[in-house]
Amino acid sequence: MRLILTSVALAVLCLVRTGEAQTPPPQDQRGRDVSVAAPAQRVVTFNSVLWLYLTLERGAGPIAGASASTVRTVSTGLLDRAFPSAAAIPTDVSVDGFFVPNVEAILRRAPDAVFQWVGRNDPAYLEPLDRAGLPVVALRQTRDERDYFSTARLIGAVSGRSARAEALIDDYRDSYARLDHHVQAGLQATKGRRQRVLYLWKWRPLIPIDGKNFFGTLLERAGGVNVAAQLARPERVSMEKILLWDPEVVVLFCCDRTTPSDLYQDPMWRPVSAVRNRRVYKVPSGGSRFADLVEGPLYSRWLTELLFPELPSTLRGDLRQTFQQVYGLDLDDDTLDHTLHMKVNSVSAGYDRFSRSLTQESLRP
Amino acid sequence: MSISSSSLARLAVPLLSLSLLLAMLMSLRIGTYPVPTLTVARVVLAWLLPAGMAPASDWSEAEWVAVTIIRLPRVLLVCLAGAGLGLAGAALQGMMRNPLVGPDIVGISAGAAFGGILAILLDFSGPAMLAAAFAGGMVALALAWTLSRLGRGGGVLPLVLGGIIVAAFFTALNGLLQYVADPDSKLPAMVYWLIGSFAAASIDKLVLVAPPIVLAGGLLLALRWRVNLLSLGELDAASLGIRVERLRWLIIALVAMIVAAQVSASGMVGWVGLVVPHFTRMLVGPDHRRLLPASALFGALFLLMMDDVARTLASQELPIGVLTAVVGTPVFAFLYWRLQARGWNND
Repeated sequence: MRLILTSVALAVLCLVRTGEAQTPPPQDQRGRDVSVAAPAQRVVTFNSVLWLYLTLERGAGPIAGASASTVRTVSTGLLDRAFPSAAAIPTDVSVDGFFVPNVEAILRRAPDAVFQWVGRNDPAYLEPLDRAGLPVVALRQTRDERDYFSTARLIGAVSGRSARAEALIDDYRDSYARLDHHVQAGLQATKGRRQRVLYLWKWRPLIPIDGKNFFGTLLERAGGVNVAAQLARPERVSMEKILLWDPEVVVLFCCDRTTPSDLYQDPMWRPVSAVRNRRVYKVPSGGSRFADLVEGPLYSRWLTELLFPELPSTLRGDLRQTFQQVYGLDLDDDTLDHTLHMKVNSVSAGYDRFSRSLTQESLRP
Repeated sequence: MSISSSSLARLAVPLLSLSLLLAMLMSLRIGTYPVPTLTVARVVLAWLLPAGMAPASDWSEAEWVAVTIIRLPRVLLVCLAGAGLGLAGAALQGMMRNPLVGPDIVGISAGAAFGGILAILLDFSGPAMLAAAFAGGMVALALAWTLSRLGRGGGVLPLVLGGIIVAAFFTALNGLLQYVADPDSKLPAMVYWLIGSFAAASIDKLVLVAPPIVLAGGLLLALRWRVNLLSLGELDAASLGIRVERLRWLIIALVAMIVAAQVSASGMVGWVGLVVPHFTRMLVGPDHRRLLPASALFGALFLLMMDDVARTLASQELPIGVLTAVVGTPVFAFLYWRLQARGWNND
């Protein structure tokens, strides 16, 4: 009997050990194993993964290089306050300042991981890295929140900050759970009617956020209807198409020069409901273009408060609390006004609800 | 009953004028936003007539905007550009006695395109962008002219060769600008602009580019009988009292002005200036007194039809520069084959 029990115990132990030994390594978003010894000491980033890496790492230490465009986004936004050393990250790893890699410059840094796009101009962006045998971690553009989570977990695994990545994911889920509750309350007040929203990624040429874009998903989650949902990819649309859609609210990409006044002054836009009712708003810029794991919920909160004016406004409090909790930053009122584009949005209806005198404190725990 | 070729030549200009007018009215009907034909007609009448004579405004503001602010400037700009390119092509081909030249031969298009995409890179818009494209075209012409003066003998051939060099240089610079442009925000606008489109047509653009095109086009029309003399050959023209070299430079400068203005408003639209004069020559013959005005009208008609196709063929608007090239190249090949058999002067 003892022999049998011992054998069973040994067999179970073997199975457990075998199971441990077979724990699969994380896979990147093209399905390849990521075999980086965490925590990585030197990483190179080409895409928007830079700001999430900084956030998880709480510093720019391991970033051995990044594309100039992403470093510029960090150094000209709120994240510069949290990570001032990021401005000095070497940018020669990209030959065009964006996503085309400078393979020799990257090889010189002997990185443990190189984060690059997959499914986006691969012959130019990805293949030179693969050919050089560099440890590529391929990431696709976000299609849904599972990509957010998967990206965060990959960075967590590479940087050895998995616990912090999971905490951010939990925060994200909690934020949307609270938001969903408010959106339902708002929709009850409007008897379930959702407003037609156009997210204009570019004004000239007119390119809206399409139905496959994650910003469109977040827009719908904020309680609106994406009028351009029928588009399957970013494409130019005619002004007549926008007249046909007749959006009730137009939101403009945070980080170019287009302002609500541009649309109000353009005679072509005159018949559009959003312009007639002065409901064109520029998305706040935040630290990471009001997108991604940390700022995505803030973008949705901002839009929900614009779509449902009867809801209490907690955005300024949420912004303050998020930046305090995640980055340890205390944002003053002037900084909040700047990031919310209070000046350019002041010509639009109802934007004063975000003014420093009218908002309530955050409802975040 | 058959129409003789001389009758056809006489009727060509009035017939083309009528066709163009009808095509313009039809084009005002085309668009994504539904506007009934009768409403289009009433809106156009209201736009044209003084307030007292205009029909009652029973249309919506969106219908008014669609017809008068979106479609009308576009139709007028397309016609103006098409007329300019057709006229410029006919004048150049006559002047050089060569049916294979087009109005972009001296590198003006590539230079204007460089100015335009540089403006996009630097976030210029509106008049500043038009000015940049225009300046680019003029710089290209100046460079081509300077190169042509370096060679011995002068004449038009060194200018054409200089134009090829300048065009290659600016094409390389255009590639460089696209390479350094932000692939998310700047590159799509650059590419779309380079392949040509009238989607951003506006009254402001029309007001900016109409004066150079109308002025240069008017002067070319005024020179049409001199172009006839040039097409006889250099010696014959000189013996008839024409100052050949000066006239050639004047024509080239006028063509440059038209092309630079067109490119600055709508990006690169190729083949119109090459194909249209051939077609028109089949209709009216080689006499430039008829050929130039007929080429202007046919150019406007051709480009308007291409733009209508570009707007309606697919859910997303097609770049007109691609369409004119796709239609223009086989048509040109066919015409070339036909004209090879008869001789391009049709005489």
